[in-house]
Amino acid sequence: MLDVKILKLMFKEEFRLHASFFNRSFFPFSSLAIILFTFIMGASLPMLRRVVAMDDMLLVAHWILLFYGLGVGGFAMFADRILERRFGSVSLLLSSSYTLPIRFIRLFFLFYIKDILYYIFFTILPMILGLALASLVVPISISSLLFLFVSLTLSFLLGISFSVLLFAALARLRAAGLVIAAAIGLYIPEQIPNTHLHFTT
Amino acid sequence: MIPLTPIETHALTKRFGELTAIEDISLTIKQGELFGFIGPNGAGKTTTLQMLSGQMPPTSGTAKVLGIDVASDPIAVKAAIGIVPEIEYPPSFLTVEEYLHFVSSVRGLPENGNVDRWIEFFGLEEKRETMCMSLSKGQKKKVTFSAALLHEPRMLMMDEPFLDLDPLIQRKFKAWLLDFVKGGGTVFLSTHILELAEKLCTRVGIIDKGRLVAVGSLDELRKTKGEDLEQIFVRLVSA
Repeated sequence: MLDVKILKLMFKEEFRLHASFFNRSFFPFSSLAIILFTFIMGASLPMLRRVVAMDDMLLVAHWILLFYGLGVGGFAMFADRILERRFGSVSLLLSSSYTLPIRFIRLFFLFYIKDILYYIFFTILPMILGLALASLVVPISISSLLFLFVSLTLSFLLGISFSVLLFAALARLRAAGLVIAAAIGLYIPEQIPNTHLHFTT
Repeated sequence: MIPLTPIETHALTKRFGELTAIEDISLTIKQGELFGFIGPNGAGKTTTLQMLSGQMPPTSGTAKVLGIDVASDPIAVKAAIGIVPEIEYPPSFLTVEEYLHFVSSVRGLPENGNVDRWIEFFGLEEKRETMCMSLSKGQKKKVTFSAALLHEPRMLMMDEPFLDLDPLIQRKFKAWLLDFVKGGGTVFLSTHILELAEKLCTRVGIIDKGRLVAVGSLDELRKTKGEDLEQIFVRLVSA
C-alpha cells in the first residue's frame, strides 16, 4: 500500500518536473506530437517501403528506443545534478531516505518502476496510438501493433536497465562499472553495422 | 521506555580514504539534555551528526542512539528520532501537504496525523498547496522541521537549524525546544552560532579537526569567572 502511494507521488513528481521544463500549457501536447509524428510515419509506410526495407525501419525504431532507455536511465542517475543546473537547488523524493526510515534501495526500485511506466505511457503508447490511427488509412494489423508495442517496450527496458546497472555498479564498485560500460561500448558498435539499411532505388 | 542514555558513542571514527574526518569520539548524552555540538567550519560536526542519525555508517567505533546501534540498524534510528539536516530540502515537485502526508505514511502514522498541527505551528497554512520548489529557503526549512516532528520523536538531531528561519519562528521554536527537553526530550544541536548554543544548551561538546576537545556545561568549561562560550571556544580551538 505504501509502495503504491509512493509510486503515485513519484508519478506526480515526474509529471511536474517535465511540465516545468516546458511551457506548462504546451507540455500535454508532447504526447500528441508523438502521436502525430508516428501517424504521419505510419501513413507514409507504403512510400517509405519503396526506399527502406521494413525490417530495417523496425530495427532503427528499436535502436532508438534502446538509446532512449539508456538516456532515461542516465538522467535518473544524475537527475539531481542535471536539475540543479536548470533550477538551482532541487530535491527529489528519491533522496528522502537520508532522513526517513525507508531504505534507499526500496525508493530507487520504485523510482525505476515509475520511470518505466511513465515513459511507456507518455512515449511508447502514443507511438503505437499514432500507428493505430494510421492503420485506418494503410494496412497495419492490430496484432503487429501489439507485437511492436511489446518489442519496443523491451528495447526501452533493456536500455534503461543497462544504464541503471552501469551506474549502480559504478557507485558500488568502480571496476565493475567500467567493465559493464566497456561491454556495452563494445556490444553496441558491434551490433549497429548489422542494421545495414537496405535502400532500394 | 527511553533509556537514560539516549546517545552513547565509543571511539567513533570516520575516514574518507586517507582523510580522517572524525577520530575517536566518545560521548554520552543524557535524557532531557539540549546538547550543543560546536566547532569551526569543517571540524566534523555534520559528519558526526550524520553518523549518529544513521545517515552514514562509521568506519570504526560504536554509537547507540536510544539504545539502537546506528551501524547495524540505521533505519530503526531514523524511525525513532527526528532529523533536521542543514541543507536537505523537501522534494521540489511535491506540495507541502503531499510531502508531509508522504512522511506520515512512511512513518506509519494516520493519513492526516499531525500534519495540520505542524503546518499551523510553522505558519504554512497558505502554502500547503504550494510546490516546495516555489517556497523560500526559510519556508523549506519549516517543512523540513514539520517532517522531523510529525511522529513526535523523543529525540531531535539538528544541523544548523536556525540559519534560514525568521526571528519570530526562531523565538517560537526555541521556546518549544526548551519545553521539549523539560518534558524529557533530548536534542543534539550542531551549530557554529555560539550565542545560540550559550543561550539554549545545557551542555556543549567542542570539536576541532575531527577530535572532541572538550565536553561539559559552561560552568565546567570556564577557566575564569565570567568567561563566555566564545572565549572558551577560542581558547580551546586555538590551543
